[in-house]
Order: sequence, then C-alpha cells, then structure tokens
Amino acid sequence: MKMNELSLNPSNYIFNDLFLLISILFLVFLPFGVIIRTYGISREKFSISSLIILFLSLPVIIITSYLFGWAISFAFSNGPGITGSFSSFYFSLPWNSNMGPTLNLNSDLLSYKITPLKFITFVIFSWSIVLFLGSSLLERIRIGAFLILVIILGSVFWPIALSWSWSNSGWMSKIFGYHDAFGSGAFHTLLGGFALGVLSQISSRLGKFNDFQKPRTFPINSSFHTIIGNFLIMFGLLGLFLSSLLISFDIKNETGVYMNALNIFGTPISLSGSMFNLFLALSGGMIISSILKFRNSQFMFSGGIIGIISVSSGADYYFPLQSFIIAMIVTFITLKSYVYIEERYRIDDKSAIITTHGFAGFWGLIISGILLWGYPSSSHENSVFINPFGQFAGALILFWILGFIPGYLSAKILKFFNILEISSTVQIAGQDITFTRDKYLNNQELIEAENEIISNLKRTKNE
Amino acid sequence: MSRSDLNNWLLNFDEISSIYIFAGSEGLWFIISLISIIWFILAIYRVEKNEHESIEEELNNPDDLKNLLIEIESVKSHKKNNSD
Repeated sequence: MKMNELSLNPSNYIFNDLFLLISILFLVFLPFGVIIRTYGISREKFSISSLIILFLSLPVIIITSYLFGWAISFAFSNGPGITGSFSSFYFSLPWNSNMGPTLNLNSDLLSYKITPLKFITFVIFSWSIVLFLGSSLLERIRIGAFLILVIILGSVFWPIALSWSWSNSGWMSKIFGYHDAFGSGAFHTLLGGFALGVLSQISSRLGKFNDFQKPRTFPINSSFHTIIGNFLIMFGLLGLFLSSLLISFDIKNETGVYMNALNIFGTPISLSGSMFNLFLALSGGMIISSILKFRNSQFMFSGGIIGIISVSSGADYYFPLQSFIIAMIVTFITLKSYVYIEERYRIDDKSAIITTHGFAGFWGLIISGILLWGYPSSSHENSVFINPFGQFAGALILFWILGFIPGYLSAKILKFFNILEISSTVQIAGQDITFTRDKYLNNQELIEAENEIISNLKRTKNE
Repeated sequence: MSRSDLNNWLLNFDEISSIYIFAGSEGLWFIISLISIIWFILAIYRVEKNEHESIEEELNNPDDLKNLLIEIESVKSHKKNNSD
C-alpha cells in the first residue's frame, strides 16, 4: 500500500486562517491572564509598577520579534544543535520584501502560510513566555534588566526552542523521536529552566526568609485578581493548543482523500479527543491543587494550569482518563516540589514558574516518552519512533541548555555590572511610591487651588 | 517626488511585488530600528536610575523610611475603615 500523502488545498487556506483567528481570540487570554494574576499576587506597594513593567515588554517583544525572533524561529530547524545548514528563512528576514506590503508572495511561501496571523500568534506566544518570567522576578528586578531578559528569552532562545523542537522540520523530532504536541517542552520547560537560571542569581525579596531561613508568605494584593488570572491562563492554554493545530489538511492514500486535523509534526490527530484530554487534565490538576492548597488563592486553582501543561506533550494520543490521572500525579509532585525548592534552595519564585511550568513540562515530556513509546514522532519518512530516551534528551536540552544556561549567564552578567536589582530602599518603599507621591502632591496642589478659588468667591461676594 | 516605480494602479499586478515606499532601503531601516531599541533600553535604565536616586535621596534617613511605612499603613487602614 502506498504511503499517505499530506496536502493543503488552496481552498482550505481561508478555513485554516479563520480557525487560527478564533484560536488567537482564545490565546490572548494567556498574556492578560498572567498580567491580572501578577497584579493580584504583587504586594500593594508594587502592584501598579508591576503592571507597567509587564506592559512595557510588549513593544520590545514586537520589534525584536520582527527584527530577528521571527527569522530565528525558521532558521535553526536543521541540527543537531547549531550544526547543519540554515533552513529556508529568507522570507522572514526583516529586510525581505515579504515582511512588508507585497502583492505577490513567492510561491515557496505557500507552504509556510505566511500571513499576519502566524506572526501575531508568534508574538503572543513570545509575549506570554516573557510575562510568565517577569511575574516571578518582579518587586526586585530593574526594568532595563527585565527588558534585556525579555529580548534574550522571547526573541532568541524561545524561537530557537521552537525551531529545534516544536516545528514540522525540527531536528529533535527527526533524530531523537522527540514528540511535544502542544508546547510542553518548547514553551513551558524552556521557561522553567530560564526562570531557574535568573532566579538563582537574583536575590530574594527583602524579608522573604526569616532568621531560620524559613520562607515567609507575603500578603497578596487581591485574591480576586489572582483567581481570575489563573482561570484566564487556563483558557489561554486552550488557545495555545488550538493555535498549534493545522485544522484542515487532506490526507490522500489509495482508498481516498480524508480531511483531518494535524499536530505541529504533521501527524493526524483528533481535535475533539485532544480537547477532551486537556479538559480532563484541567479537572485532575485542579482537584489535587484545591485539596493541597485549600483557601490559598494563588495556588488553589493553579492545578488546572499544571494539569494542562503535564499532558500537553502527549495530549494528541492519550485517552482522556489517562490524562486525568497524569495531571493529578504531576500536580501533586509539582506543588510539593515548589515548597521543597523554596525551603531547600531559598529561591524566591514569586509565581512558582520553575515548578508550575518547568517541572510540569519536564515530567510531562518524560511521561509521554514512556506511554507513547513506539508511536511515530512525525510524518517524515523513516521518522524515529517516540521513545523515553529521546524525550528525556529533549527535556534536558530545553530545560538546561536553552533555558537554564542562557538565563543564568545573562543574569550573572547583569549582576556583575550591578544593573540587575533595585536597591533595598526602593524595595522597602515600594516602586509605587512615585505614583503615591505624585498623587499626594497633585492632590495637595488641587486642594490649594480650590481653597484659593473659594477665598476669591468669598471676597467677591463681600464686595 | 516619486518614492517608487509605482505611479498608477493601471498595471499588471503579476509584474510587481513590493508596494511600499523606498523599496530597496530595507537594510537601512533595519539598522535604524536596531539602534532605536538599544537606545530605548539604555534610556529606560537612565530614567529608572534617576527615579530611584531621587527616592533614595528623599528616604536617605532610615527614620524617614520608617515614617513612610507607618504613613502608608495608616492610609491603608483609614481607607479600609471608610469602606467598612
């Protein structure tokens, strides 16, 4: 029997783009969820500054994605590592005419489907990953230092991870049999590793640890925002799932033509089955976190996020009830390891990014390697089968080589030049002091002006 | 001044690709944009440094810092009492 042949009919482009547009509407919940949650968990004296710093990363990520991030995401898919020639990426270079208003796209580009929607999706992914990072570093990092880390993670190492591991032509899939359906490795594991690298260099917030080196719990600004933010992130992760699908592909073989959804590696999947998996994982994770962290507004529902991340790598081929169980186990391990890391290594991970994303993604990859052992990793001819060793190697590369080492080195350099952290005085006073002071001064000025007007009115009346 | 070869729309669309102005100068815009983003990062560092220096100057004395915290707490409790 002949091999299956995959093709994208030109008539389906519009349908795929429409689906991508709907996915983007879900995906925008992700960055806004992170921002709202960060506002909630920040202390009151840092809450407005935190919002400002996070929003400031948007213009930086847009321009740097355009200048080099987008091109990097196509360039390095040949491997292993940085060996191998560049993949075709000329169309994504910032000086290429295809990146501006052009009437006739080169016919090569049809396979890449260069539309603004793909770039928008990429930018939202990049923005989300740096917002997650920022949410853990705020209240002590300088804005400039954060923006440098935004560029390094969001426009250099995340696009490399995408190119290596989460693309149809990525070398990790071809060589290791690496499989990551919905960004468990390229997004979450990488993020966790990078956050660990930076947090190992940056000091904890003042007063975080007592004299016995036990962590203190800081009062949060708003439980309402924290809980709503967590739920928005869950919706955003569903958007991440939807936007990584190719929804309408024709699969041709001897018996006919079938329309099917494909994952990012070009293998056919069931859209409804994958969605069941993610919903069940959300449920399993949330059940565990609500027991372990009852009435803790930051963590009580974070299990939903951990659950989704834990099955993201294999949600295309799990049975939903398997996802439910995997999510429960990984959520339990993740929440316990957060406490352990905080107490043992005294790392002040404000939003639990290392564990919630890094560990959950890492364990999710390992589990999928064992459970999906023997499945074909991609649609390429002679593709290596999914196997635990390939998944383990992929997870190590993403967490340590693309995540931890760049994060550690960049934070170390910034620390060396003393431009990483804000001073103790500003930490104690709070970065919102500027707003509070300005508000007070403006108010005083206004009161004085009004008093003067009242005096003038009185004088006029008397006359 | 013509900024490109495109002078009217009565032409064969298959023969043209770029329809933006100053086609051919993309490399220059790339370099200018790259310099702009580096300038922005440095400028943010400077603005933030000045702001923090003024805060540190104002709150140089630990007693001032302590008084500030007491003031913030009293404003918070006042707000809370009002809302109750």
